[in-house]
Amino acid sequence: MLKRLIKIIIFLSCFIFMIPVTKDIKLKQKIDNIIINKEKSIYRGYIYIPKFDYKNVIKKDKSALDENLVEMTNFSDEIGGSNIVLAGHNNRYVFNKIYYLKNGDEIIITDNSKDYKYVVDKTKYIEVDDYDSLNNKDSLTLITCTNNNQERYIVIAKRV
Amino acid sequence: MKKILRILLIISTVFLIGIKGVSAESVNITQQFVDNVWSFHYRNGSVWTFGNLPYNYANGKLVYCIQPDARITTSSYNVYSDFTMSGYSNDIKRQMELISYYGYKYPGHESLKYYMATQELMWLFSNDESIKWTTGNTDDTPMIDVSYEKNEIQRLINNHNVKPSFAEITYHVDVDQGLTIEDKNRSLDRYNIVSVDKLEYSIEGNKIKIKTPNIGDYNFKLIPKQNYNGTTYIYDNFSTRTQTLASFGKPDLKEYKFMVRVYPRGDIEINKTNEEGEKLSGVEFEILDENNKLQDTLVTEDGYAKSKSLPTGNYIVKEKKELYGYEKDNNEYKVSVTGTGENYIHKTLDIVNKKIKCEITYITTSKEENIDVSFNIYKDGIIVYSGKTKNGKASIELPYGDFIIKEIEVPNGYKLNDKEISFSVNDITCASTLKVDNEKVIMPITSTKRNYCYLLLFLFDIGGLIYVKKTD
Repeated sequence: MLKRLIKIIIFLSCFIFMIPVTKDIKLKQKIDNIIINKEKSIYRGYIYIPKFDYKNVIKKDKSALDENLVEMTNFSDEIGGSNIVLAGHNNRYVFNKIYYLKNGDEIIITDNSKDYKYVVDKTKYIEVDDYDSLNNKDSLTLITCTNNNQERYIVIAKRV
Repeated sequence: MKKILRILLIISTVFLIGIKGVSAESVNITQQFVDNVWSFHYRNGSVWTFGNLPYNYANGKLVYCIQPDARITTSSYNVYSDFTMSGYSNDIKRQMELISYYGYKYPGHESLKYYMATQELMWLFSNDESIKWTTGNTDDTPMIDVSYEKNEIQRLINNHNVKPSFAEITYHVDVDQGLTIEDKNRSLDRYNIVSVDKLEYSIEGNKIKIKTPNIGDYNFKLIPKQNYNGTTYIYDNFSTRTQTLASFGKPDLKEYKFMVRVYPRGDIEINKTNEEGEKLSGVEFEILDENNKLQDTLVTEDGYAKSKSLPTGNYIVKEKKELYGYEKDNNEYKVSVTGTGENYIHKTLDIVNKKIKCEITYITTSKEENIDVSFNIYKDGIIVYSGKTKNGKASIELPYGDFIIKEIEVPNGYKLNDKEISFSVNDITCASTLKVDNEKVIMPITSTKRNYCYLLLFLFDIGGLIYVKKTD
């Protein structure tokens, strides 16, 4: 009886394991749909990191940080501004790969009509109250949490 | 008896000489007749005599006929100094002297018509009622009109004792101002003007225009135009009936003088700046004289104004209209425009205006919290003030003008509000408040909760599979 119950659970768990795969597909579709339709409102544009062939939507609203999208915070509110800070969760959908960015790597952000190219200039860990590190003129700063939310990891890319 | 007769003859001769005056010398009379000029003498309404006009000379000197009743019958005349021997009074003598003086020999009168007029005016002292001048020896020949010349001579005679109205007067005039003095008595034409101190002048009618390029005292003399020596004589030969002639000495002539005293002039220059030494334009000043009478109004241009040329004296300079944004200078500046030896005196006033200062309050917050920021104030792109708010507030004194205030540094954790705030300081906005709010910088929370459900499920699956395998 127990054995049968375990078999049933194992069988069902196979379907459960399909959930993240489905989520990935749906998220990609959502992102592609936003990009293709050039949706405005809360969406400012999208980010593309060639090194990882990573693409995600940039949004700006007052709600809590979206778990799956890149959020534009502080300073400039529009792509093309001089001091752009993009925050993203340290997960596979958003910014968990930025740890692998090296100086010289390209980051492109676009407002759906024009591309702005940046080149990584600096990467560093910062304290949670080091606000100054986010204030970088003519730069794109990517930020994500690290060290169990005790620190932040930032990538500063200069506009080229 | 003969002796008695001789004595009587001597006495009668001496008596005759006493009556007739002293005969100084004998002269030779010559005549030069003028062609086509005849005089017709009227008495009782009709011509009683006429004759061809001659120029009469006594030893070559022009003499006038004063007795139209007679003709010259001899060339041998005697000279007498007693005019009354002519039968005319000394009063008529003086009048004839004036006719002679202003007549034919007077400068500008050396013409035949003036000679005719002179002669006619003298003849009118005889019993002649009138004289008519003709071109022929009958009175129906064309007339020659000398009335203008007669009137002119008469005018001069009538004015003989009238001196120019400016005689013996000292005129006061400023340098370069020039002086025009008018002879209200219209007798200037009887005088030659001598500028003793060589001051340039010109004559226009009865006016003298004098240039006054330099300070000093300048004397002028008014000298009668004609001046000659000699006394009045009559010429006659009482031994025969012949025409009495006369030559005339000068009448009583007077010289006059007047003086022109030329004073310097000056001006007042004003240099107007603010406390920083900037030249201020558009400040209006009044210049008043000692009697508080307005003399000039000045407006500074590029910090400078110069009065018009002013007479020497004491003046008061007052700021009439202050420049917007500046305190009015209520001082009265006394300026003495005086000096010696110079034609022009320059006096300079350096006046500094104070700017009106307004207190502007700058408040820097972040929502309800006061934060201290560093800021700059710009005017025309140049920093005019740098400061920092304390407890979120700063008070700055600023003059009138247009400014821009901008944050340049904020504390860590606040977003710099680098928006430039333009503001004007003026009489309306004096003591106003500017407020700037700063957003806080957000430190995003980007941690991801680990989802261990799948791992547990996976481990459960593995464990389950092992368990199933072992129990099979």
